Amino acid sequence: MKSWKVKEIVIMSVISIVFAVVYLLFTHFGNVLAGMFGPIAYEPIYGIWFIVSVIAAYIIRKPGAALVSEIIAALVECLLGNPSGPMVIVIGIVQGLGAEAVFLATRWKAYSLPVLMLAGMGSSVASFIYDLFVSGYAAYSSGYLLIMLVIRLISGALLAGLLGKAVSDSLAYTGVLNGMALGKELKKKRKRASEHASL
Amino acid sequence: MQAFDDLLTVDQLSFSYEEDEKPVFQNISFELQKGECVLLLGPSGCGKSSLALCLNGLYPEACDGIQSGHVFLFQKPVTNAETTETIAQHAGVVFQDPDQQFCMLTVEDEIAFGLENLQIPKEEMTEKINAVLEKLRITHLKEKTISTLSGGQKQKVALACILAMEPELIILDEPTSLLDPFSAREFVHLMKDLQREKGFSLLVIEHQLDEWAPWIERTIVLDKSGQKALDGLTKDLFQHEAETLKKLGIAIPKVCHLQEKLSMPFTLSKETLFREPFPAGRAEKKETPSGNSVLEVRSLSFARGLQTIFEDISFSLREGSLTALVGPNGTGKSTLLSVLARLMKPQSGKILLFDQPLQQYKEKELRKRMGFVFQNPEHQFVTDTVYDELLFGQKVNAETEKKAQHLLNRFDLAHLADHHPFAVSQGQKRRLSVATMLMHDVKVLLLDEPTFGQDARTAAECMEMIQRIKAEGTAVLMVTHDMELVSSYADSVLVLHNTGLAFDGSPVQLFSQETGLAQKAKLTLPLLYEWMAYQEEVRDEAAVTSH
Amino acid sequence: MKQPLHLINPTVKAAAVFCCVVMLSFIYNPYTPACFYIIIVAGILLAAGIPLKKWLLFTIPFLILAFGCVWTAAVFGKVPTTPDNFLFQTGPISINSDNVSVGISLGFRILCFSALSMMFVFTTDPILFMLSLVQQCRLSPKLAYGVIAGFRFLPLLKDEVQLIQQAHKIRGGAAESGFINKISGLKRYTIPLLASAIRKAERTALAMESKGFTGSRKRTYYRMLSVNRRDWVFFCLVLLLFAGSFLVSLCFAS
Ligand SMILES: Nc1ncnc2c1ncn2[C@@H]1O[C@H](COP(=O)(O)OP(=O)(O)OP(=O)(O)O)[C@@H](O)[C@H]1O
Ligand SMILES: Nc1ncnc2c1ncn2[C@@H]1O[C@H](COP(=O)(O)OP(=O)(O)OP(=O)(O)O)[C@@H](O)[C@H]1O
Ligand SMILES: [Mg+2]
Ligand SMILES: [Mg+2]
Repeated sequence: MKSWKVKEIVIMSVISIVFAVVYLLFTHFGNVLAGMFGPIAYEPIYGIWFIVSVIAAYIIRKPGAALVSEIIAALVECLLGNPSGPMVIVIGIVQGLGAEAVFLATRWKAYSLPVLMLAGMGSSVASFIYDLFVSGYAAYSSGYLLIMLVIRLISGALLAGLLGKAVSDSLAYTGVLNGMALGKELKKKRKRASEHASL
Repeated sequence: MQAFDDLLTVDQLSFSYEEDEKPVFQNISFELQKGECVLLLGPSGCGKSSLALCLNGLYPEACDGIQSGHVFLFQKPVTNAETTETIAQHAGVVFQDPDQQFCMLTVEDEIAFGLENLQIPKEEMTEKINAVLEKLRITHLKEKTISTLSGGQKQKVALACILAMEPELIILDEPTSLLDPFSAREFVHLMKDLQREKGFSLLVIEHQLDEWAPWIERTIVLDKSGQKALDGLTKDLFQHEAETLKKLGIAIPKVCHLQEKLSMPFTLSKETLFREPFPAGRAEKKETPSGNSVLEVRSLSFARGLQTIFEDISFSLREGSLTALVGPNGTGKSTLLSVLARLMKPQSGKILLFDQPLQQYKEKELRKRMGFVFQNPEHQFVTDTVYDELLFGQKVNAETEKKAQHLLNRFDLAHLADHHPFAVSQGQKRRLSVATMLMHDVKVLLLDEPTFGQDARTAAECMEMIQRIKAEGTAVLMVTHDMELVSSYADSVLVLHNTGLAFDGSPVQLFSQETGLAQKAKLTLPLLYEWMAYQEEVRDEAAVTSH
Repeated sequence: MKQPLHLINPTVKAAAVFCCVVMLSFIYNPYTPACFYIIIVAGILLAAGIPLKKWLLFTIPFLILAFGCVWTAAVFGKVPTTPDNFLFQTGPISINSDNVSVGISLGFRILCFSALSMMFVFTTDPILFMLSLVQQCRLSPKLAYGVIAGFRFLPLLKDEVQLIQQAHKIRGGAAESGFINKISGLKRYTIPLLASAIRKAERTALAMESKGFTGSRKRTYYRMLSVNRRDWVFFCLVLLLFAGSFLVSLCFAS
């Protein structure tokens, strides 16, 4: 955390906290669905639980952003009253690691849409492995598991990757991210565009 | 080079927020000795707040701005990121917006936070916290959650945090702009006593100078382009450079104003002025407004949970009149306004707009007739540029665009048209939020402290615009803490005090009342009335001693 | 208000909960989690002083979830049905006792998780938890105080949403009522909400730095947290209780 500015940390933690509330709402929503249709009901909405990783990494662009933001979101969710208690922090670590691994593979340089969607899918894979053991999914038959995994991958790519990018871009447009990596990139782009226009 | 007891040396300092924008302030140089107190004045938007943040090394780092020149604290440059810790120990800032300066949940933790950063051992910490709370007489707030405090209390807590760290330099950025007049006066006197006792240096940024000017000896004035215009003894500046100051739009202490009007010898202290005999026939009576009632309030009550904010309030607003709503911090003025604007539901009572109950209006119809300006200007903003903010909810055509442009010019915002509404100075935010409501032709306009944080010129401009729409027949209700404003502009006054309307009548009645209501409701008298009261007191005393 | 559980060091408490969860996740018999569940609930109601009503309120959603797990495991369980374990047939699906017993185990596991988390959440001050992580687990103060500063926003979020709604009303751009409009309004509010949160975060960071915060480990603490004997006793007690539940399950199984 040495290279991080205090500002970046506080901003990351605030984003995480806002989404922790969203996470918790989805947890309760998912729990009711799962009560009716079984754990597979979680899968289509599972991606939403990785969105903070994508947003934080995309905005801040520093090693650790995806992992740490997800942990903070999980921590806050735990403190707000998630059924899994402190265990949700472990889930957060696992999911964050999944996304972070993808960014690590790009050496924290590439933040295009495909990379962000891959990051969401990375979280999907990591969290699935976790569920297999800790949530006892290993007890289900393998065909059922395969369907679950596919739905979760799609959800991760769309709800975390695509939606996360959309949210961050609209945020950058409002100008609040001017001090962050994403905002600076946008500024540069605009400048280049205006130079082009004036030529 | 610098003399040895220089606390702060500023050398050719310039600063801008964006790379190719014109600098906010430029080539500023001055020195501050240990224990010296300085007033920093300048028109709204000239860069005072930005300068304050540069002085303790937070800018340009925190906002990615561009700075040139140097700031030295004890001969050491402050722009070095590794020394932030020690800079905070030497220079503390109380920010302009009281909501901006806290990072912990409770008062106690907030004060402790600064001390922890200075690595004060725990035992000493407890002692220091208790001592500083005692000093500011806010011991009862120790365990309170900061977000539940009123504006005035927050300001004191912010000061407590800084005082506890015992810096050699304290920078106050418009510390009293949100306080009721009585608390403001109290705050200034507190600062004066503390300064005398502890001997720290003080840099005060203010638009309301009446309480500060008599005891702060030196004044630095910035002009509109952010260059140092004047620097000298406060007394001399107001005596000899009054014209220049007025031209810059800086408020002159009311005492000076009066003297000038009555052509009396110069003084900055009220007491000296008051010794002169009172000029006869000064407080003119105004006619009470006689237009039709536009908004009628009947036995209105509101409670927040178990806390009654106000009950059984009745009054009416007349066509083409300006009504001022005054009262101490935290009595519920803002709450009353939002109930009137149908943002909150009253527990009981009736509000009639053009003889029709407020609830019966459709949202669109209501907003067409009624305008509202929040106390916190930022709450008003919904778009991404200053210009869009004015045109929001309007049909965009040549006429509205012209109107928007006109407002921008009048309020000195034209050069900021494509800025984000949040990235302008506090005073500019205030003017913009008022301007958004002046775009519409409303019949009732509710304004929550429309002139706070303004310099003399912009405040006058703002009042003139309000006068104009008043003349067009709009009923205006304005919350304010500025009694001079009430006495010179308002047609009638409402005093909200202890959950009820304590007064409803003309300003002259209120201020010349013998019951002392004004004092009870933490209002100060406008200078003329104060003078009058003083003379009467002296006369009474003389009568008593002669008996 | 201060119950015995409030006084336990937050990190130790979290560690105890964590250990229990890990151990529970290796268990597929219904007896251990069931027995352990009864113990924790007793603990919550007595030692943590959580009122029965509050506990019930928070348990209901998890009951629903637990039920879902039971039937999924029962229907989609991987143990094939044999004449030995056959219970009954519903349509094309046959239910066997092995899968049902795993399902019940999973159901109780979820209830245990929820009870443990309730025990933790209702007896722990979040700020103290963060401070304890700094002091006991050497978490970076920069991160911890960043999170604490962010934590202030939690109670403010509701007000913030309200303010944005009010601003739109005043400015004549409010959404009409109705479900569809509410949903589209939701989208309109999220970005401003996030934007204002970020803006405030920026200022908070500025406030922290203006008070001399650098995030370095060199600092003192106003609230000192330590791990003492009482905490160790608590930790061992929790493990013992778990071992006890496990033993009970062995008795039942045989
Ligand atoms: N975050 C920002 N980004 C870009 N420009 C800004 C930002 N904040 C302020 N400005 C601009 O910088 C100038 C100086 O602002 P500053 O807040 O220092 O003024 P000020 O003298 O304190 O005014 P006031 O008396 O109204 O508080 C203003 O013109 C303002 O529009
Ligand atoms: N969001 C809130 N939650 C709880 N209490 C509040 C809230 N806002 C205001 N209050 C309380 O309601 C009372 C009235 O507040 P209000 O803001 O109307 O006062 P005011 O007269 O406008 O004060 P000021 O002059 O400081 O602006 C205060 O005691 C305040 O503490
Ligand atoms: Mg300012
Ligand atoms: Mg108010």
